[in-house]
Amino acid sequence: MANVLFALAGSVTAGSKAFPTIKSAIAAAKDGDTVFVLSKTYTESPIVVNKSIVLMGQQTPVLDGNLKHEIMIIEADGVVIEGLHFRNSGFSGYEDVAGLRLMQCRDVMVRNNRFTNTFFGVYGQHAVNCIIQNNTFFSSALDETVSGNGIHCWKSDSMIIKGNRVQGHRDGIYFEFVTNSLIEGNTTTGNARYGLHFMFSNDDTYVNNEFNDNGAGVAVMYSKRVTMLHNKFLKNTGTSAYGILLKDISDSHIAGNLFMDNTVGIFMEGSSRIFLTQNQFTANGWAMRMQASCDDIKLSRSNFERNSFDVSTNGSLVLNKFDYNYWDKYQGYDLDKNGIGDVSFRPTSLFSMITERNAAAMMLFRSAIVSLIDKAEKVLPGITPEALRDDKPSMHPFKLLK
Amino acid sequence: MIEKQKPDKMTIRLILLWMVAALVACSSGPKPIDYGKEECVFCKMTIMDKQFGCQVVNTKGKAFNFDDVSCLLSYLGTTKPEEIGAIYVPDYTGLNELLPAAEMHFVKSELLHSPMAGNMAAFSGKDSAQHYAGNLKGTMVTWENLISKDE
Repeated sequence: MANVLFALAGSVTAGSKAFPTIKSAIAAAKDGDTVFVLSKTYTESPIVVNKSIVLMGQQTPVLDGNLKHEIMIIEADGVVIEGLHFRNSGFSGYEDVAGLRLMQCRDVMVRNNRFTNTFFGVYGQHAVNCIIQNNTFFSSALDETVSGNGIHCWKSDSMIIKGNRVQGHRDGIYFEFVTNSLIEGNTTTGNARYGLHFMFSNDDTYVNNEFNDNGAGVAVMYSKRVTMLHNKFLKNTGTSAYGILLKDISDSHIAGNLFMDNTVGIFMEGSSRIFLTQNQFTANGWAMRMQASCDDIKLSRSNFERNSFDVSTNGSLVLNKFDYNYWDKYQGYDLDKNGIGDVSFRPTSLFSMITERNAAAMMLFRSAIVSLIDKAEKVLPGITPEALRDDKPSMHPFKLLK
Repeated sequence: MIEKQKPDKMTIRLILLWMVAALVACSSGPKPIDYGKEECVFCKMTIMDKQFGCQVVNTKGKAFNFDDVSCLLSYLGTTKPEEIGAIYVPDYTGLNELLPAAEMHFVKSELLHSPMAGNMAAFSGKDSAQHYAGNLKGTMVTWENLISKDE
């Protein structure tokens, strides 16, 4: 059967004498055909792909939107887009103009393409079971408030976003109402707002991604059952920047991630039933800021090293559990030599509670009086939450990163 | 003997100048939002979109900024009504200047894609609101509808 199909599949070459434009080549193609696109610059956007074809660029032909149009719209199932360079899409304040739009289609593969100066790069809209792999997105929008997202998915399901690089957009990867999807091995750097932005998206997993130097880090909001494994959250600095901002998240796992050089590693608000384990928090301003609106958070076997503050909170009621973590600020002892400290550790300092209420107090940080009141609070806790403590602090850091 | 000293003209001028400056500082009206830098008071997201960034100014004159009308409404639900001085929303068309919410006409449409999926845009003119409601397959809503729904 496969042989018969293969024999039936023909090919059409765009940019040739017979078919000078991509549109004419698509018009001549049948479902299952391959359209080869010769290396040229094509300015015929918007191009509508309404047949199940393979569109294959040879030596990266350029599809230029002349800063006016959406470049390509896919309306058929099973389309493959490979080796094309999408350039200069239109920009608009009212419409989300995209380089490549996946419009109510399924089983589409978009791989090894380049997107430069597109408002939105790939825009999935009611897309199902599509793969977006090994593409690069680079935008140099002058006004960061009017740039769009690199990979944007809305009301989609079972998407795989893998091995892409996104730079200079508003959000690197943006998910809104996207379910059962995987985001793996992507790198987003230097985007104006978030490296990754999740909203109302349940049952998604992101693995082995790197989010570096984005305006405000990563935001995961209003979602359930999110799994985050082995990601790197680096250098998100600024007053409202977070490694991850978790807002109204429940039933999720965060494991094996690295948080380094962020203003705040994890900021958590209104979240419940989250299990954090084997994460590395290094050289952050705050490793974690956990608002009192969080409950049933379990933090275990993670390393906290060289952070200015380990954990801070704004309330006194604590319904969360910390155990077996390594804290470099721990000054206890281990007489029975079982690797677990014999006295519990309180990761919240009095001063972090004060700055949580009055941010300007930060100017007194590392002054003699502050260290004195922190020491006094450690001996006789009065203001810091009594229940916020690690009863089994590890004496040695875990080897977490390869 | 103590000589009665008259304040010189310079001092009077300085005092007057100071009073004028103080008055200017107290003036009502929306405060500019620093787009791309400030975070939404309610959802903590960075405010980027000038078409949806909105503001509550409390009776003491402090501004609270939001990235979406839905965040503003949620905030109103958690705040005492007597503390709220003024509410400003941007005109969706044109320069997106912040205008008093009660005088605006709102359009609700999923096609707006606002930052927090509140999907409400405000218009100063009823004509343009109707025009966009038609284009975006949306419905017209008044400010009274929006706040009463929230309560």
